[in-house]
Amino acid sequence: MHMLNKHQTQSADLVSDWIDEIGHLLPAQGPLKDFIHHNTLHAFQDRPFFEACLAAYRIYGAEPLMSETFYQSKFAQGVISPEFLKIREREQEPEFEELEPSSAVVSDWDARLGFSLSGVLKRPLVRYLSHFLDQGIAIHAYSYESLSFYDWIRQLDRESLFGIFPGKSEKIRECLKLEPRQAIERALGALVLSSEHRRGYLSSTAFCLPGWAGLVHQIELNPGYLNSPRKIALDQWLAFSLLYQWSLVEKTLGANFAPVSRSNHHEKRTLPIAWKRRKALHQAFEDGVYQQAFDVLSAAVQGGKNRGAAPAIEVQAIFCIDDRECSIRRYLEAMDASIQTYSTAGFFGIDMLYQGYGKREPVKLCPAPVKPRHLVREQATRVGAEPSPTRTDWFMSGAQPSFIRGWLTTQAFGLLSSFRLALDLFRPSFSPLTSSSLTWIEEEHELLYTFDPNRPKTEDGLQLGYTLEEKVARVAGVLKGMGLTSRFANLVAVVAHGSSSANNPHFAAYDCGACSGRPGVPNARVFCSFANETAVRLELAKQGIVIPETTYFQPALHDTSQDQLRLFDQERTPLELRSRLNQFRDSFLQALKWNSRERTRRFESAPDDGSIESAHEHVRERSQSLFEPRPELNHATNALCVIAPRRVTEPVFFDRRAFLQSYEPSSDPDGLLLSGILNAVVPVCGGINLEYFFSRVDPMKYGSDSKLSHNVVGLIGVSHGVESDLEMGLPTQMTEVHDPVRILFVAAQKPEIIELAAKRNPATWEWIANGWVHLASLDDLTGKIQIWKSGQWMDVQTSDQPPRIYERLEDTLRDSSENLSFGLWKGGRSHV
Amino acid sequence: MSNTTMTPVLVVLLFFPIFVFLVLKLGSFQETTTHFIMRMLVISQTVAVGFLLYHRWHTGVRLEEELFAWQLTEDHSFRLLLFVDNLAFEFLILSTALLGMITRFSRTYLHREPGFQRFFAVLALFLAGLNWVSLSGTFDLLFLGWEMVGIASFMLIGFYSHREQTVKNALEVYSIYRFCDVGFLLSALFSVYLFHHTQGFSEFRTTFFPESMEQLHPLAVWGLSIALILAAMGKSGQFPFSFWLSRAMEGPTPSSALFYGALSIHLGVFLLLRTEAIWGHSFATRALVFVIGGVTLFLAVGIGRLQSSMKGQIAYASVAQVGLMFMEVACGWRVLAEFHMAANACLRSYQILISPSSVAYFLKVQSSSQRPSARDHGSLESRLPSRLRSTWVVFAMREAYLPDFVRMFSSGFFRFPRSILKRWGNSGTLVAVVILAIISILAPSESFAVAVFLALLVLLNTVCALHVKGRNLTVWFWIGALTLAPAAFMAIRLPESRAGALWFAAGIIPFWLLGVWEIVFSYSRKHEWIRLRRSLLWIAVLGTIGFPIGPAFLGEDMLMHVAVEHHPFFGVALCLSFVWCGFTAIRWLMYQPNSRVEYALNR
Repeated sequence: MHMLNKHQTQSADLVSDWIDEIGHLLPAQGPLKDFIHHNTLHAFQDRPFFEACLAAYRIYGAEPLMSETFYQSKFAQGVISPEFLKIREREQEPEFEELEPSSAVVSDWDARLGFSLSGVLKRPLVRYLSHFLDQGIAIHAYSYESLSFYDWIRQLDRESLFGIFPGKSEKIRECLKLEPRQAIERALGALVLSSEHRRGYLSSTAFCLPGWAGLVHQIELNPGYLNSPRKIALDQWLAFSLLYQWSLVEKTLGANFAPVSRSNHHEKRTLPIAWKRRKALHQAFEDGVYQQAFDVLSAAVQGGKNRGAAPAIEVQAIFCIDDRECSIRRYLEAMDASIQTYSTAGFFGIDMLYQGYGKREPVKLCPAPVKPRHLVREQATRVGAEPSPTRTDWFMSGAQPSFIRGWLTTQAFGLLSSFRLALDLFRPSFSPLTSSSLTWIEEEHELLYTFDPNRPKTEDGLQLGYTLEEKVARVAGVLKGMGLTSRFANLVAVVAHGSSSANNPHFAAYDCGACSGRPGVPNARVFCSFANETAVRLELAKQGIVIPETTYFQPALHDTSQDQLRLFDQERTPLELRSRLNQFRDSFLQALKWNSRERTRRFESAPDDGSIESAHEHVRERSQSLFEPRPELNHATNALCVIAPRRVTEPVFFDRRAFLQSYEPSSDPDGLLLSGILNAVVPVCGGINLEYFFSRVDPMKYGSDSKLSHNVVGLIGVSHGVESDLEMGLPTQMTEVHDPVRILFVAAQKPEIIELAAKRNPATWEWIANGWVHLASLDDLTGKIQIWKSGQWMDVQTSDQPPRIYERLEDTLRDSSENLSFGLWKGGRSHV
Repeated sequence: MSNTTMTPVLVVLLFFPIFVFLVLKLGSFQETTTHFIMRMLVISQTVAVGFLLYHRWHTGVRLEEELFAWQLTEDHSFRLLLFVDNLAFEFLILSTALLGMITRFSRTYLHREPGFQRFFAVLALFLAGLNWVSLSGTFDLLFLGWEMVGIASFMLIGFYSHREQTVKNALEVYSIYRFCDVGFLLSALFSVYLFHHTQGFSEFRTTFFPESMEQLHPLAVWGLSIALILAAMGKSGQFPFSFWLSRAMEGPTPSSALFYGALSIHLGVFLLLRTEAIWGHSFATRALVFVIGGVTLFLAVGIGRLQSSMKGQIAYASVAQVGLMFMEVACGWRVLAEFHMAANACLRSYQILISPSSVAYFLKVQSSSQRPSARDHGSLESRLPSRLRSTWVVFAMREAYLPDFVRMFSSGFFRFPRSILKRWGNSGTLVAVVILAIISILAPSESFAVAVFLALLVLLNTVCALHVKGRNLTVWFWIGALTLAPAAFMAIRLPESRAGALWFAAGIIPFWLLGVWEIVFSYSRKHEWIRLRRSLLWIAVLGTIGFPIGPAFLGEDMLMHVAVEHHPFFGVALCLSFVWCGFTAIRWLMYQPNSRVEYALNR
C-alpha cells in the first residue's frame, strides 16, 4: 500500500514536470487587448539563435529562415554582397544534429480509427473552451467567474442529460472526478502503451491547438489578463482534451481497444531544406544591412566635426524611441531650426496603472516586463461632471440571434445598413467602430498623481500616486538617460504616440509598445506634471539638473497612422508661451504632412500627384476606412536601434528603419545610465523585431497568416473560420514588406563600457550573448565601429564607397516601395 | 412585341458575367486591370438592371421571353426561357447593389493578396449564377444558376486552400450542397414526369390551379414538393442542415459577407417563393415548411446565443431569420418575406464586414460601463433550473446533434461500397462492375427487374467512385469512366437515348482529355506554370462534372427526359451519379498538393 502511494506521487510529479515543460514551449501571447510584442521563440532564448531556430523547427515544424528564393532576390538587388556571402559560407560549421526519435503522437490513432483524431477533436474542444473564456460576445454565459474550467466541465457532465463526452463510458466519467493531473495520468495510461512515450503524447495533445493551449497557460500565469477573470490552468485543459480523446477512441474501437505503442511516423526529421546555404545567405544579408548602417554612422560622426555652431534652441521635443517617430523628428527639425528633438522609451519612465475617468478597469501603461506598483486615477474636474457616455452602435450590438427582437430589428433597420455601407465606402469617417488614439482620452480630467498618505492602498496593493522622491527619481531618470540635464529651452514638448485604425482586431499592436500597446498620453501628462512641479525641480537641482522657472513641459500626442497632433492640458500652458506653442504646432503640422508624404511612398494606392496635402489626406482616410487592412505599416521596416546623441543621428537618413534613443556618452563614464537604457530598449525593440522576424519567416506557424479571414473569438483572439485554433503572431498584412534581419543595437560608447553595462543584467545580456540581437559600439568622436561577435569585439571596416547623399527633402520621397539605402541627410535645419 | 427589345439586355445579364469569369480565371492581370474589368461588369450589370426596371415601369407587365429554343431531337428541345417578375427584380437589385459595393470594398481589402484575381473571378461566377437563378423561367435554367452559385460558394470557402481546416470545411459544405442538389434534380425529374416537357414557371399558376390539379399524379406532386423543399432547406441552412453556415466562414471577410451573410443563404427562400404554386397547394406541405422554419428558428437562436465568435454568431442569427422567412412563406405572406429577405441580406452582410471592429468596440463599451462584462445577467437561460440549463448548454454546444444526425445518414450510405473497395481494390471493383453491366445489358427482356438492377448498379458504381484512391491519373480515369458509365448503359439499352448520350459524351470527353493532358504533362513543368495549370485543371474538372461550360448539360437534360419516360427510378440513379461524381472530382482537386506549393512560392 505504501509502495503504491509512493509510486503514484512519483508519476504525478512526472506529469507536473511534463506540463511545466509544455507550458514553457507554448506560444506566450496574451489576449488581443494587451497585444505586446515579444520574442516568438522566447522559450528558446537561453540557446544560441540558430540552434534555437532549429530546435523550434523540430518542435513546431515551422520554417527557421526565409526561403532561398527570397535571399536570391536580395542578392540580385545587391543587398547581399558576394564578399560577405563568401566569408559566411566559409564560417559554416559541420552540422551535428542527431534528431530525437519521435514518440507516440495523437495522429498515430488515425490509421486505426479511419479518421483524423485531431481533426475531429478540435471543433468540440475549441467550442467549450472559447465559450468558457469568452469576454462578451456570447449572449448567454454561465457565471464562470466562480467556477473553474474543470469544475464547469464536471458540472455540465454531471447535470446534463446527454453527458459531455461522445462515448458513454463510466470509466472516463469516473476519471473526470479525479484531480486534473491524476486524470491526465490515468488517460495517458489508457491511451499510450509504453510509459516512455507518454510525455511525447501529452505534448502532441497540447500542440493540437497550440494557440488555445498557449492562451490558457498565459491566463493561468496572469489571472489579471482578462477583464472578466476566468479560473483555468493548463492541466485542466490537457485533462479535458485527453479524456475527450479517450472517449472518442473508445466509442470508435470499443472498450477493449489496445493503446498506441509506438509512432507510425517513419519520416526522418532532417535539417530544413538547404539549411546551410540559407543560413549563410541570411547572415550575409544581415551583414549587408548592418554595413550600410556602419558606413553611414561613421560618416555622420566624421562629418559632424566640422559643422558650424548649432542655432539657438527654443523648443525641445521628447519623442518615443519608436522607429515610426524617426522621420517626423527629421522633418520637425528641418521645418524649424530652433527645435531640437530627443527620444526615450515612450512611457517616459512612468511605470503606472492608469484608470481613466468613468472607466471600470485600470490599464497598464508601461513596458510588459515591468510590474507597476502605482495607480494613477483621473477624476472629474468639475463636481458632478458625468463621464462622457460611450457612443454605441446598433449594427454591432444588435447582432444577436433572438426571436421577436431579431425579427423586428431586422425588418426595421436591415435596409438602413446598406446605406451605412455605402457611406462607409465613399466617405470613411470615425465612428464608434474605429479605434483612435486621438479620442482614446476624449476629455481631459484632473489626474490624481500625487501620493496622499491618508489614502489607503487599493485592494491589489497598489499605491495611489507617487511620492516626491518617486517623482524626482522618474524625471531625473528620463532626463539623465537622454543627456538632457542642462540648457533647457522654454518649451519642452513631451510627445507620446498612438495609432488609429478601423476594423482592426490587432489595433493594440499599432500603439506604443512601451505602454503595453496603448497610446502613451497619460504617461506624457503625468511626466509633464511631475516636471512642472516646483518641489520636484528643487530636488532635481540638488542632483545638478537645473530646470529654469521659465521652462514648461507640454504633453502632446502624435497619431502615427493619421499623422495628426493633439496637445493636452493647454489651459495650463503659461500665457507667454502660448504663441511659441502655436508656432511649434504649425511647424509640427507641416512636418506631419511631409512625413505622410514619405510614408505614402510605400502605399501603392496612394495618390501620385506628389503633393503633401493629398498624401496627408490619404493617410487620414486610410486610418478610418473599414476596408483598409494596412492603416499604416507599423514597425514593418525596423532593423536598427541607435543609442546616441542627436548630433550623431541627425545627419542620417534612416528610412524609418531605426529606433533612436538619445544618450550622452560623456555623462555616463561607468555605463550606469546605459544599463538602464539597455534594460528597457533591448527587450522592447528586440521583442518587436523578433516578432516581425518570425511572423515574416513562417506566416502560418509563427504568424497569423492573412488577416482577411480573421474571425474575432471571445474578444481575446482571432481565428480563421469559426471553430479553429487561435492565431498567434502578426498577420501577413503587417509583415509582408518586412526584411527579416535581427536588430542591431549601436551604442555611442566605448566597447568596454557597453559590455559592462549590458552584463549588469543577465537577462539583457542573454539577448546579446546568444545572438538574438546584435550589438555594436560607435565612437562618437572618431567614428570607429566595433561589433560584438562570437564572444569578442571586432573592428568593422567601413567600405570605401561614400554613403548615399539625400540632398533635398524630395530625395527621400522617390516612388519606390522598396527600402532605400541609409544615407546622409543634408536636408535638415531649415532647407525647406 | 416590346419584349424583344430587351433581348440584348438579358443576354448581357446572362453571359457577360460568365465571360468575365473565364477571362479572369484564365488570364493573368495586374490588380488595376482586374479591378477595371470588374468595374465594367458592375456597370454593365447596373445598366442592364436599370433598363429592365425602366421597361417594367413603362409596360407594367411581367416579362417572359424565350431567348431561343434549340430543337435537339424531334421530341425534345432546349428552351432558354426567361421570366422576370417582382421577385426576380428584387433579387437582381439586391445582388447588383451588394456586389457593386463589395467589389469596391474588396478592391482595397484584398490588395496584394496572392489570390486577388481569383477572388474576383469567383465573384463574377457568383453573379452569373445569381442572374441565372433570378431570371430563369424553367427548372433547367434555375438549376444551372444554382450550380454556378454552389461552385462559386465552394471556391470562396476554400479560398485559402493551403489550410487544412479550410479545405475540410469547404468540402463539408459542398457535400451538403450536393446532397440538396439531389433534391433539385429530383424535382426537375418529377416535373418532367408530370408535364412531359419543360414547363415555364409562369405556367405553374394555371397548372396548379385546383381544377386542373386532378389530372396530375398526386404522388408525383407530393414528391415534387418534398424535393423542392429539400433543395431549399439545404441551400438556406434550415433544419437539419443549420450547421453549415458557420463552417462556411473561412474565406476573406467580404466573401463571407456577400455569400453567406447576404445572397447564397436566401436562395432557398427564393426557390420557395418561385415555386409556391407547386408546393403551396396542400396544407400539409405548407405546414412542413412552417415547422422546418420554426424548428430552425428555435435551434439557431439557442445555438447562436452561445456562440463566442462574431462570425459564428452572425451566421446563426442569419439562419434564424431565414427560419422566420420560411414560416412567413408558409403562411403565404409573400410580400413580408420578400422584404424580410432584402433587409436581412443587407444587415448581415454589413455586420460581417464590420465584425473585426468588435474587439475595439466592445472593449470600449465595457470599459465605460460599470457593470460586469459578461452579458448574461437576466438572460433567458440563466432562469432555467440548473439541470435543464446544463443540458441545454451541452445540447447547443453540440450544435443540437445536427452534424451527427446528418453524418449518420451519409456514413450508413457509404459503408458498404467502402468495404467492397477495401476488399477488391479499385480494379477488382471495376472488373466486377463491367461484368455485371455486360450481363444486364445483354439480358434480352425489357423487364422491370433488369432495369431496377441496372439502376442499382449505376448507384453502386458512383458511390464507389467516392472512395477511389490512388495516383492522380487513376482517380481521374475513374471519375471520367463513372461519369460516362450511366450514359453508356442507357445508350446501349435504349436507342432513343443515343442522341442525348452523344451530347453528354461530347461535353464531357474534351474536358476529361484536357485533365489528362494537364496531369500527365504539367508535373514536369516549371513553377511559373502552376497558376495557369491550376486554372486549367479547374476548368477541366468543371467541364467533366457537367458544369454548363460545355454541352454536357444538354445531354444530361435529354437523358433525363428519356429515362423518366421509360423508368423514372433510372432517372433517380442518373441524378445521384451526376451529383456524386461531381463531388468526387472537386474533392480530388482540393486535395491536390500544389495549392501549398503555390502558397510557398508566393511568400
